[in-house]
Amino acid sequence: MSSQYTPIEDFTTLKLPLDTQNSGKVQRDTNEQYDPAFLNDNPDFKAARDLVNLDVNNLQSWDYLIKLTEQLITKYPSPTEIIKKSIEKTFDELLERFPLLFGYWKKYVALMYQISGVETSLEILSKSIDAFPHSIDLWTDYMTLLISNKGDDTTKIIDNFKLAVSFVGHNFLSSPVWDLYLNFQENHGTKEDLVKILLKLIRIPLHQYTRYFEYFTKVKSSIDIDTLIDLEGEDLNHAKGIENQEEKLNAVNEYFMKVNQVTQGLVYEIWSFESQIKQSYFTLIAVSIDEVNNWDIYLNFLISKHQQSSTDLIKSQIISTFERSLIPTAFSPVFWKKYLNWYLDQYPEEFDEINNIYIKCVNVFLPIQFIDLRLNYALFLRAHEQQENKIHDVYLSVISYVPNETKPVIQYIRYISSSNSDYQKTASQLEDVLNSYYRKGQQRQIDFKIQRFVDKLNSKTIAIVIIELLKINLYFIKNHLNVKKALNYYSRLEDLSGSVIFWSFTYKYYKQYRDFRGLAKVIEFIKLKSTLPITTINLLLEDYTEFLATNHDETASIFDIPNYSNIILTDYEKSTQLGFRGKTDQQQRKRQKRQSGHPGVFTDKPEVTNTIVDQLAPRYRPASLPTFKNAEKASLPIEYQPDE
Amino acid sequence: MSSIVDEEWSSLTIQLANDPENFQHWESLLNYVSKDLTKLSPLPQIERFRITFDQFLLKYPQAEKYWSIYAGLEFKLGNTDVAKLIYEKGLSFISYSLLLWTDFLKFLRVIELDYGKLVYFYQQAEFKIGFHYHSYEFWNDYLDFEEKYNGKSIYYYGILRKVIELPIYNFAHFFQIWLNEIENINIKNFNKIVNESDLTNKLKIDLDKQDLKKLDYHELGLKLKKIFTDLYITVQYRSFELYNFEKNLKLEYFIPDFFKSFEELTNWDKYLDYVEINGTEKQIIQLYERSLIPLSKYNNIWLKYANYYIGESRVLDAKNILNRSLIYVDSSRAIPIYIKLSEIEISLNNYIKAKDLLTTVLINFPNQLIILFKIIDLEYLINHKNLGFFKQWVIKLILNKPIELSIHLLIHLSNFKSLTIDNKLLDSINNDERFNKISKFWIFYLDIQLRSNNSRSELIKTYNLALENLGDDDELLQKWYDDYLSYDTEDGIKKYFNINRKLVLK
Repeated sequence: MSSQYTPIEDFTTLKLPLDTQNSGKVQRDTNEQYDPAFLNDNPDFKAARDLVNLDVNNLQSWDYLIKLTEQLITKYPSPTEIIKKSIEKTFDELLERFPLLFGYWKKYVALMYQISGVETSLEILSKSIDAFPHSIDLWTDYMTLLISNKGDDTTKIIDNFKLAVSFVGHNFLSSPVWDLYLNFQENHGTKEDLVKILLKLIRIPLHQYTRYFEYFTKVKSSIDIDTLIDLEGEDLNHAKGIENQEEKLNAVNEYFMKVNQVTQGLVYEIWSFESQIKQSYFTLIAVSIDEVNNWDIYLNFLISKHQQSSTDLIKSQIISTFERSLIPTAFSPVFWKKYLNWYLDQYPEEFDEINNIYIKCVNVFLPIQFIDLRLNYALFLRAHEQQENKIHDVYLSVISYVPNETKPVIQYIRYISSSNSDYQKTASQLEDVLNSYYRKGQQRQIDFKIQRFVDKLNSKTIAIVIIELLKINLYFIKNHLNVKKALNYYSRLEDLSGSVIFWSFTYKYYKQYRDFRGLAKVIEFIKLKSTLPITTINLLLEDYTEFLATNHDETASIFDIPNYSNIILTDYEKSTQLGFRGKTDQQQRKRQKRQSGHPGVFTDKPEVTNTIVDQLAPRYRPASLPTFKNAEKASLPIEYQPDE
Repeated sequence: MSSIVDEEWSSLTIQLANDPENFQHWESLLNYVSKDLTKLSPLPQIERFRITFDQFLLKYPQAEKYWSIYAGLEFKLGNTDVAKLIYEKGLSFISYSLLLWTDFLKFLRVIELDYGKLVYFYQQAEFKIGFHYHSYEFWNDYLDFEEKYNGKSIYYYGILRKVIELPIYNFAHFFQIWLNEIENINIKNFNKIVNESDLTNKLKIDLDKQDLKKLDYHELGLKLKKIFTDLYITVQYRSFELYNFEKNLKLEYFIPDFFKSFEELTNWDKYLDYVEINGTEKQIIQLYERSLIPLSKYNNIWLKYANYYIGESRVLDAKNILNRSLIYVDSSRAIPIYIKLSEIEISLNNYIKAKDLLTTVLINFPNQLIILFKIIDLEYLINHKNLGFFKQWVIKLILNKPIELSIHLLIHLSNFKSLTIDNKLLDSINNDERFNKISKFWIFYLDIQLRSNNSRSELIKTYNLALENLGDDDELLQKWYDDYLSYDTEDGIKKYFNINRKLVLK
């Protein structure tokens, strides 16, 4: 596991889905959203804000900005709407980016309490638990505030408690929430309901499990024993028929002692993992590998327990533990993958639950460079026959996250093709894309989705569209004429002269059909004119030598000799890192010479044009006087070539 | 030395016999046999000394200093002719060795008094080591030699005039001498410095042969100084460029069992590239030969050298270089050299020679894929009129090699023109199912099917069979599906998703 986990070393480059979703629209991180007069009056605030804009992933800058924001109410004891907006904007932005920073939620709540009173703080707390529902702290605050201000609305409070414990109730350290719940229930509910809650609680392995069992023992004696037996259900049914009350009580007590023993055993087992958790909260410092390993073996332990007996309790423990592990590691794909994998293996029918995990992962937390998981999400939606629009959105968003990656574009085209199940139709759609991109020919009105796709393509990825169109023509429609025509047309486009995908395909095509002349032309272009990377050129040349060794053009007059001369010559060319281009190209040769000796710097080198160094020292007649080229340039300042 | 058994000699030779690649053992032995050697030493001792040096230098001909030591000792023993022969033999191996030439010329100055013969050797050396960046000592000695015999002759000035055009480390030293001569140009030396036609045509100075005193020597000196200042600038420029490479060369002599750092090898590589672009043929060859003293065991330098000749369309020279390299490069690193040689031989139509070369390496490395490929390619050439035979031969080879090799050979077989490989053939090759667990085999199978226009359902059938054999976490197979079958997946989308997620969420 630790081999898969790579701690993020530099958070300054962290890019989240949120960073691209808003690009194109109003730029979010600028000061324009603040009132100009407000910024003028508060230069410190503006400076701090600028610092944040410089690196939105720097928590120190944020922290400083938040401090200044908090100080605003000292300066403006009765803040205007503008001030309030500025405060809200700052907090909202920070917490939209990093919703797991519960400390800032708390600050936000406290500040708004001072400014706008309890209703607003409740709203913010409610927002906070939507954004971060696995936070014990936020739930505790929310419920406390709710009880003290909406204490009369018992149903609402009870409903919220049920929600709270469904999110955090299996957290080893969740007793603050449970205590509030029990306390409220004791004062506002029936004994039976309290017992019902406790019957669940005493089975959960919590740090405070003994206290709850003691509390349960006390409470259970206050209700009728048969009611208790009924509440517990089947497992305790055997006690029902016991006539003797004392014996019945003993049976019931013995039963619950056993329940407690099981809980105790579980607590002991997980204690070894729980005690190793050092950083359970979210921060922008990479989690250590040891910490990650601990979560991993903890989860493995629970998963294997679940395999032995898949009870609801263990299922809830696993989900709770996954969610907890994802708080400190939200930006790493490791536990997201494990979580999804486990869920898909065990409960593939729970579409909504799985979908929610995917959404949280791909839309909120996972940095944009992780594309495989997002593409896999698209397949998940396809496999569950979800709306086409949603699926298109997933593909198109991945393409906009990483506009230079080829994979999302390829997979999107395959999706379009699959949903068409008509190769001709796909081919004509791809032609539309190309026509629209290159603005050529009669441009038909094209589909909105296709237009969105075109807008996201660039000179690198457009080559994929071409290749996909060619592949469909070649393998499925089997129209060779189209392929040849297209290759001919596109090989003349300048912006494809450096396209690895395009030229590799073209080369392979001619090679597969053993078109000697076509192949020789392609190789000639690749060698002398293309702007492909040297490594690609050399790979193709390498492959070409293999082709030459295994294929002979019958039209050549002598069977083999030209081929092998060509092989050793091509091999030589491969070895010179494009130096061979100087042999045929004067311009290139001059360039090479000017640059040789110090790459990136171009100089006209001074030279002796009638040098005698290649002759023996003259014995009988003095050598001619030397003549020069560029001697005057030797002392000129050098010319740098910025980006070669 | 009176006893028949010399214990130290015995132990040193046994030590070496047990570990003949150990250079230190060789050195101990060489030190021992050259110790206390005099004209009076008994013949067996002298013989022992000769055998040891001969054997050593046969093994390490690039060990420059030892040729010199050997010759020096022979000279000490009074065998001047033998000493000379040793120098000459050494230079036949490492003809561009600065060290050996310098010692040889010193030796010649002592033993040879014939001016003409000495000039002959100096001129030999001019082209071999004259371009060397550190050839100062040689040129100084050359000048000294000429001056001793003939004073400041035309030749003396000629040597000086040549050396100031060479971008060597101490170029300024010779310039200083030259400029001094120009400043003091006079009736005695002007015609040794500048020739008559330059004097009248380029310098526009009237020359009255009847009265040389009329010539304005001051003006001549000034004009020459201007020209040679330009030369100074030009040579300095080049010398500085070379210095950028030269400063990174360390330990420029042969050391066995010592591996050069990556930086140093890269530096050599770049230096050679630089000279190939900027140098004359003699300079290029000089630098290659010079580099091959410290780098003689590196096949890439030899191959680069051969490639230089190939680029110049001098295939035979390339062949000679590679043949020479086989003395120095150890057998495993010589594989690419043998291969290149075989390719050259084929291009020259010498199939038998090419086959010999490849067979020689194959004996030592029977499972080197690249050699097998080359042999197959050659057999194809030889048997192109009998492709059926050729095909059977390769198939037999495929069936006899370890599975990891045979799959590559099988794929290689599909490269050949006019050889049909179809699924029937593949099925027969795999009739014992030995390829079932090899993903490359299934990919190959699918490729063949795709190219021979099989329908999608047939491809899916093969794909499912492959899936059964390889399991659903085979990345190559999954990639093939992605590449060719994912154009039409809605039917099997659930399965596709599950396979994908096992790979992605792993």
